[in-house]
Formats: sequence, C-alpha cells, structure tokens
Amino acid sequence: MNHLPASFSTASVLLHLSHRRHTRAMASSDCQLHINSLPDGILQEVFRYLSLTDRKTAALVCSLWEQEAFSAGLLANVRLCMTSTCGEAFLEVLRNSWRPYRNVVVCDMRLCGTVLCEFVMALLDIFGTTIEEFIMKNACTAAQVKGFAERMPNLRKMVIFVRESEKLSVESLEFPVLRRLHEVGVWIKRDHGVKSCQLDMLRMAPNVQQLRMQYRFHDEKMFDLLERCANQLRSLHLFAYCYPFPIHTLRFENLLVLKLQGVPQLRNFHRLSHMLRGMRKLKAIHLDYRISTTTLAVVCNSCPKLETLDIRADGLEASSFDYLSDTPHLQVFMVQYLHIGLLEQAKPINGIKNLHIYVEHKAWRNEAFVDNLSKVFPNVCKMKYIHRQDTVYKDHIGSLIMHRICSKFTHLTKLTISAERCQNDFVLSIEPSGLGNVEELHCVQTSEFREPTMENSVKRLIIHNVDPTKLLFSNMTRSFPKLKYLEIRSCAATSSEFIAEIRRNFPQCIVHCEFMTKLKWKYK
Amino acid sequence: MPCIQLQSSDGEIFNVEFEIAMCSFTIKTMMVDLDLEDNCEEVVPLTNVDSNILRKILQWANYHKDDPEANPEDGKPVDRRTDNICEWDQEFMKVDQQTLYGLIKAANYLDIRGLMALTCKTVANMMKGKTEEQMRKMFNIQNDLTPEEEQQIRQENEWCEEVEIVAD
Repeated sequence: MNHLPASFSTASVLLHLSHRRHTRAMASSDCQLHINSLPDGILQEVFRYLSLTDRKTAALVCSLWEQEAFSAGLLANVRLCMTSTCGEAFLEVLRNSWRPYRNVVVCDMRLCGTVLCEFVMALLDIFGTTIEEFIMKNACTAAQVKGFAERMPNLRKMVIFVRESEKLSVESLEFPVLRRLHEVGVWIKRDHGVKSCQLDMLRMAPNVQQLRMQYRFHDEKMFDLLERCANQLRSLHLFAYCYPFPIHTLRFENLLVLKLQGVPQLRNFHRLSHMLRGMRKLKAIHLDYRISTTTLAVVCNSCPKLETLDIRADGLEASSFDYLSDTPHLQVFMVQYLHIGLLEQAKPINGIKNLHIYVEHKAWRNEAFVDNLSKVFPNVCKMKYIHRQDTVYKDHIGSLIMHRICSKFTHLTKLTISAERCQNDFVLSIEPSGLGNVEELHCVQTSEFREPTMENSVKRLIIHNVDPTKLLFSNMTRSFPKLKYLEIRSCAATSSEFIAEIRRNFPQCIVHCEFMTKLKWKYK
Repeated sequence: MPCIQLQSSDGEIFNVEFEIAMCSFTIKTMMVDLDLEDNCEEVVPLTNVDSNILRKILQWANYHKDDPEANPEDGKPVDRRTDNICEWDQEFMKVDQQTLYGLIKAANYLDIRGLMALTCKTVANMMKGKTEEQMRKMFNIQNDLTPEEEQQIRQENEWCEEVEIVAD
C-alpha cells in the first residue's frame, strides 16, 4: 500500500454527501436515541406494517405519530366513508383535518339528493385534490357529477349512479377533463322521454381503460365514448336490456376483460364471434346468458390467452367441456346451471384452479354432486359454492356439505359458501367443520355462524349479512387460532362498543366491520 | 477473497469481504460508481456507525449473504406481514431499544433493505395490539395533543375503513 488510490477522497466525499441528507435527525447521534428522532420516513416505514386499527391507536400517541400514521403513502388503503351514521359533525371535523385522503365513498340513505350533493361538494372543497377514488352510491344528476369532477382533478376511479329526468334542464354541460381517470363505473337511469344524456363522459374521461356501464335506453353520447375509447379499453362491462348500438362493429384490440349482461344484440352468434375475433388479448370473458356448444367453441378458439371463463352450462353438451381442456391458460371457471348429468359424462379438466359454481337448490346438499364435481375439477384450490335460487330457503349447510367439499377437493385453500342471490336476510346457518387445509373462509348471506368444534388453519374469515348477536367472539378466538383478518358485514347497525369488543378480542388481526342498510349496493 | 476496509466512527477498522459489504446499497453504489470493485486497498470511513453497531450489522450481513436479492419491482404486493421473521433474526433482534434504533439508523444510512425491513417489523410488533397509553410508555413519548386534537383524531378514525389490497 504505497499510495492511496486517487479515488479515496472521492469515496469519502460520496459517503459524506449521502450522510448530509440525514443531518436533521442525525444531529443528536451522540446522546440517547429516541424513536421520534430517527431519520425522516422511518416511522412511516414502521407504520406500513400495522393494520389500520393499530394505526388509528398510534395516531393518538402524539402529533408526530398522527402525521406519520396517516401520511399520503399510508392512505392508499384507507377509505373515508360517509354514511348515514356520520351525522352533522362530519363536515365540521373534516374542515380541521389535514389528512390527505385518497379514497372516498358516499353511501348516505339519510339525506335526500340535493342536500346530500351539497354536502359532498363541501367535503370535496376540503380535500378534492388528493382524492383518487370516488364512489357515490346515491343517485345524482349529471350536473352534480360535473360539480364533483371539477373538485377532483387527480381522480383515477369514479363510480356513480346518474338519474336524469325530463324535468331537468337539457342544456349541455362543460365537463372538466380528468386525464388520470382510468376507471369508470356509471349506472344511468333516465325517464323514457329524455333524448340524450347530459353526462359527457367522453370529455371527462378521455383516458378511460376500465369501463362499466348500465343503461336501459340508447344513448348517442355513450356510444361516442365507446367508439372513441374502444381500442384503449382494458376492461368492459356492459349491463343493458335494450338494443342500444352496434357494439359488434367496434374494435377492442387491447381488451383483457369482457363482461356482458343482457346486451341482446350480442346473443346473435355471428355478431359475437365477429367481435371476439378482434380481441386477441382477452383474458377473461363473462357471458350472462344461455350459450350453445358452438358459441363456447368460438369463445375458446378466438381467445388463445383466455384465463377466466364465466358461462351458463344449460345450453351445453358434455362434449363441450373438451374445449375447456384445449384452452391452455384457462384457470378460472365460473358456471351456472351445471347439472349433475353433464358432470357424470364430462372428462377431468386439470387446468382449472379456481371454481365458482352456482348450485341449484336440489343439488345444494347432494353429496354425489360434490363427488362428481371433484372428479371433473380435481385441482381446484379456490372454490365458491353459491346457492343459485332466488327463492327463500331456510337451510342449514352445517357440517355435512362443507366437510364433503373439503375432503374431496384435496388442494382447496379458499372456500366461499354463499347464498348471495337470496333476497331474504336470514338464509344460511353455517357451522364450519372438517375444514381441511382451508386458509380462507367466506360466508356470504349467513344468518347464523356457529363456531367450529375442531381446530383449523383459517387465516382469513369473512362473514357477510350475519346477525351480530349470533356471533360469539370470545369463543371464536379459540376456534380460529390462526386468524389474521376478520371481516364482518351486517345489515343490522351495531354500536361502536360492539366493534371495539371485536377488536379487543382480535388484537393481532385486521378487523373490518361494515354495517349497511338492507338495500344491497354493489359497487366494486 | 477480495476485501474492503470499513472504519467505524470510533476509529475501528473492519476487514470485510466484498460480498458481505455489498448488502449495503450505499457502499455498492459507491464501489460501482468509482470503479473500485477490483481494488482492495480502500479504507471507507463510516462516520455515522459506531463499532458496536457495525459489528452487529456485519454479523447480520454474514448470515444473510446468500439470501436471494429482494426485487420490489416485480409487481408483487408489498409485504406487510410481521409474523414471517426467521428464528435467527428473532434471536438477533433481542437487543435494547438503543441498539435497535442504532441499527435502524445505520441500515437506513447504508441502505440495507433486508435489515431495514427486519428492524421496522420488530418495532411494529412492539406496537401491535397496544393502547395509545401503552405505546407511549413503551417508547417513552410525551403526549403533545390537546384534548380537542385528540377528539378530532378519534372522530376521523371512526370514519376510516381499511381497503384491503388483495393480490389475486
């Protein structure tokens, strides 16, 4: 070592420079270290590992923690909810808020249209500029949507329900241009006489990639939007009951997900195949109407990259399942009207990992149905077992069928038992047992939830529509020793003490509670 | 085995294998930028890290030198779990708060991502499931919030719900 390399001093300088970035917090490096004197960003990094429940508590520790626990980066998974329970204090409190909220959902059944919209405008005046996701479950007019949009220049996702009637003005509205708005869900409800909708989506969302539309009447503006953005769309969900426009003439070359409900013009086999031929990148297709074996063949042959297929099986023959085996990337199969006769004749489809099945009431507790299902889909890891009937049945799914499902599907890690289509509140009574390797259990439209008697591996438990008084949480902590996430949605409003009690009993897991009115609002 | 010499703030010099020193992105960037990868005669002063902390860090880096490199850009969701700390790391983290903060500061300064995650998870685990009063006691923090501010936070908290970010 005769001389130091010329770069020595440069190396020292470099390290010193990177040191200078932290001088503020490093200043006291010789004395006792304190958590609040650590360099910038460290506390946020720590809070990133906490559930929202723990972050809420941390915010009460001191002013620095409250800033860090609800800083912009950590608000990505936080939603500000304005519901009927918020009351008058809501706006007053939020005026003093400095949290840069990013997601807002409004679902207030208490206030009527105009009053609510003024309330929302006032809310958006406070922090509209940081909002990225806006969901409004109450109906509003196009003019009100314009008012919201003007207050949220950085919006990325918007879900709205628009109601228009002859009584309202028909003048055209100048909507703001929201360049970052990529995801739009719009439900349009209008009086028959209204000629054209005031909602200028084409202007407002020029870069839309995911579009969900529901309408009953033909609308020029909405077709203009589809026509203009067809090629940039990644996802399209149409929910229509009329012959609105010649959608099959459009080219959707970049579409990954297509979902059709109603849309009578596409029930024509030739139109559908014409449209599908242009969708070479399609990964998921959902067809909510009866299809023939030939249509299935067209779908499977036109879309070589198909991963998800959602169909009705009542128009199919057993041989049509061969097309599924020939679709190399197919993993998710969602099916309705699947009869045991079809299953008995079908060959195993090994590629399917994820199965959503709508089950007829007579097959609901039929063990032979489950057995046949497991023969045709032997490699399923995630399953949704859904009661299909709209009619009300009081049923006890109990240990019987769940045990059968878990023992026959040996790879199963996630199971959903649901009666989501039933209108009645109290339909299922669930007593999970013999859960095998299931790590995630969802119970949807459940009235009672009885505790499992055997130890299980469930890490995530999601219960919807349960009567909260029929859950015993002190016992559940023992019956679900590995629980990490608990979600409860209920129609019955409950006190905050109830929620607090749940959280006390599950300190290590994320507890998510949501109480809704009986009206079901689907908004995802 | 090529080595690099690291000098702690209190003047102690550590002979460290390149491979181990490279766990620090700060050192790695410097080596690459200054083209020092073939030169073993360098003494790099670390003015922020004392010998106790540096020794611990090198011990950790030595144990983890064969770990696959974490790649945050591969589209996977961010790891928010804190129950996935291996036994060796759990044992390694049995230190007093002063050492823990020293390690965090040094891991941050030297940009050692794995150690950063481990130490932050450890602190997060010390907070989980506690009340605000227990947290203050644990970390020796004075409550500087006025009753009005506290009320404000409680109200806002009530209207916030967690949106689950699911990887599917």
